[in-house]
Amino acid sequence: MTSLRQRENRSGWLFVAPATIHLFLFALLPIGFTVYLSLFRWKLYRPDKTFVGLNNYQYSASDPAFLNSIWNSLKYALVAVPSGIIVALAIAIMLNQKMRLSAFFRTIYYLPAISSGVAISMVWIYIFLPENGLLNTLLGHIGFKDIDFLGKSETALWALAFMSIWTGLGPKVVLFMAGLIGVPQTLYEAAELDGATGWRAFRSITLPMLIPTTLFVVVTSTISAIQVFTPVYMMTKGGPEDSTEVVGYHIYSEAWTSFNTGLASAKSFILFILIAAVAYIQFRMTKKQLEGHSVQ
Amino acid sequence: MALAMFAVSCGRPATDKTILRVASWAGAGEDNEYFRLVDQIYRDFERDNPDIKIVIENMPGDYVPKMMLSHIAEVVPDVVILDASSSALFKKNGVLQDLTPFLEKDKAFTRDQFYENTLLAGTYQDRLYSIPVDFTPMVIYYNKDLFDKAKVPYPKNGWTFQEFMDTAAKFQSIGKKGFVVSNWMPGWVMWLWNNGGSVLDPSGSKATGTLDSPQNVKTIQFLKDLVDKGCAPKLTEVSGTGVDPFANGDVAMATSGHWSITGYKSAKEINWQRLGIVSMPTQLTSPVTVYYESGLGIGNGCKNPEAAWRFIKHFCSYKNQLRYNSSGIAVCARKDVSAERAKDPIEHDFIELIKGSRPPLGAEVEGYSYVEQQGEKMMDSVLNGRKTPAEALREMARRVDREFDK
Repeated sequence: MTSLRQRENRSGWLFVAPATIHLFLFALLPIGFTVYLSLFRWKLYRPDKTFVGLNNYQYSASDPAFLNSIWNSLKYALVAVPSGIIVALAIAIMLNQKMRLSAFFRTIYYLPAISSGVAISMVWIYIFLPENGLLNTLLGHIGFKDIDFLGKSETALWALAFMSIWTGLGPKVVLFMAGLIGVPQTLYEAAELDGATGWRAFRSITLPMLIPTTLFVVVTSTISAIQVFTPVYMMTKGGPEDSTEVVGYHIYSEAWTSFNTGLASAKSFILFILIAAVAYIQFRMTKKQLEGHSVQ
Repeated sequence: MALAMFAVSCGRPATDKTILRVASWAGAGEDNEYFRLVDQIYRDFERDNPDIKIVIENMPGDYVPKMMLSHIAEVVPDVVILDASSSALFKKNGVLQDLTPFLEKDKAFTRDQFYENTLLAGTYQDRLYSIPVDFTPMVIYYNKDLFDKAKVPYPKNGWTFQEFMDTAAKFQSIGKKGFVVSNWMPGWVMWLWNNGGSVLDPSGSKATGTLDSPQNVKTIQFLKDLVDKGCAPKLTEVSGTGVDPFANGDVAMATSGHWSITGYKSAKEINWQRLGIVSMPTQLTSPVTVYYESGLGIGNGCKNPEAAWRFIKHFCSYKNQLRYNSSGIAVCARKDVSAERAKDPIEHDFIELIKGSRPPLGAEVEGYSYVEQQGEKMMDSVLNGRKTPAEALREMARRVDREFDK
């Protein structure tokens, strides 16, 4: 018996070993090394590192450019996450109907998820062009003229958030569709007997039953929104002025333009804490909602 | 980072020949007339030096961080391209070998074959770290067809800011603009110089008190006035359209370097043979401008520097420089090649402007790319009307000082 248990234990460890080693080498070790580096004042290309304790954290907390980049990331997430979720849910509901070409549309909506972020950004640069861009051409038909979406500090961040609705659609739609399939049909039948159909059934059955899925989508979308980098790097380089300098791009510049490795590490760790805190708050809030909500 | 270092050090072919690793800005598989020409020069070197095999190390995009990574991983290529705009970083941190001893030993290859100021970008503490391959002073291009149409006399070297403004204002009568203010700091920094201003103090470590000086405020206001008075298109009309208004024949004058000629030659809306070039307008006794340059140096870890030096001499020889510069990409830093090319009127005018040209501040100041990033944000805020030049320059100076204090 003991021998069997030992064998099972060993097998279990062997099964999880690849993932554990991967996690240790490519996640935990770099995180630990980042924390270590964050305690030093170090220009990447110079051999000398000076231990400065928590000075890099103190400096970051009062660095206006870093604080502005966090604010930009939060603004971006506040727009990109809810709008992305609403559009994805609407499309998932539409695709969940028994309609022709449903499989074709599912593929189409998933395409951005498997396309290169760089290539997508290049396409959207042309979509946003002020004169002959696709969006301006469409808007021209309803009286708007030559809006320089990426060239004006008032619109650039919102243009990137708008683009993210489309680029982030695929995985969200798949998750919502899986959630919708999991809603027991009997609930709708019972509701129908009670006279609840359409919007009432959606509000009282579909939405509450989708809360676990929505929680997962909100948390993962928020994390990826706060980490947004590729479109900013490709399309705006943080400009015009500082309007699209999000925290990921700010840290990249600190590390690879200014080569302040210690400071960039401290800012990365602050970003890690920030994302963990946002995710924790979201989990708590939604868990409460989940506990207090039952199908009415 | 460890992975990057590992990747950089992998992938060497097995051969008895001496391997010479040559850095390149091109992407793998990049194919155009220019790269074919460069490749031919490499192949000729291998033919003349059968004991050496060239291995190209492509580093398209983010060249400086990649080189710095290879420096700390001790795998810097044997032959390094040095961009004047970031050369301070390479020269001051031991990325390159001192070429002075090679030059002193070599009687057939001497400093005086080059324009003296073009050697400054590769010089640090009187030692030479790179041989210039190509360079270009920033100049003002003008479209003679538009000048004739608007009945405006052609500009002359040494013209003043006021003469420039008066000239730029005269094209609205033919439905064109006089000038294009593009927000790229390497393309407008020399306006500050020509009004007696500077970006950093003489130590190169402080901006406040210099960058936000009254002269610089006046210069930035002058550039804004060009837009506000309709002499130049608004920033939003220029940025992001993907269209160069000068190449499109919509604007009579533009600031650029020699590299633009290749694009102007293929532009359908202008006749490149009817283009002229003139010095930057100036308030000084003689005009100054910035030059941009690439040079070749030898990496610090190069095990066979003699072979690398042979390669550099081959690339910078009279014959190969004449071929290389026939691509139209730049002006040649070799006096004999430029004298030959001066038979072409535009080349002649470029060469006239060499004497007033200086290397960019990135050749002296480490981390200058941050200043250029902030310069563009500053100019954005002024041209979009969100800040006055004084406010924007003060803010920029404060940021630059904060960065240099890190």
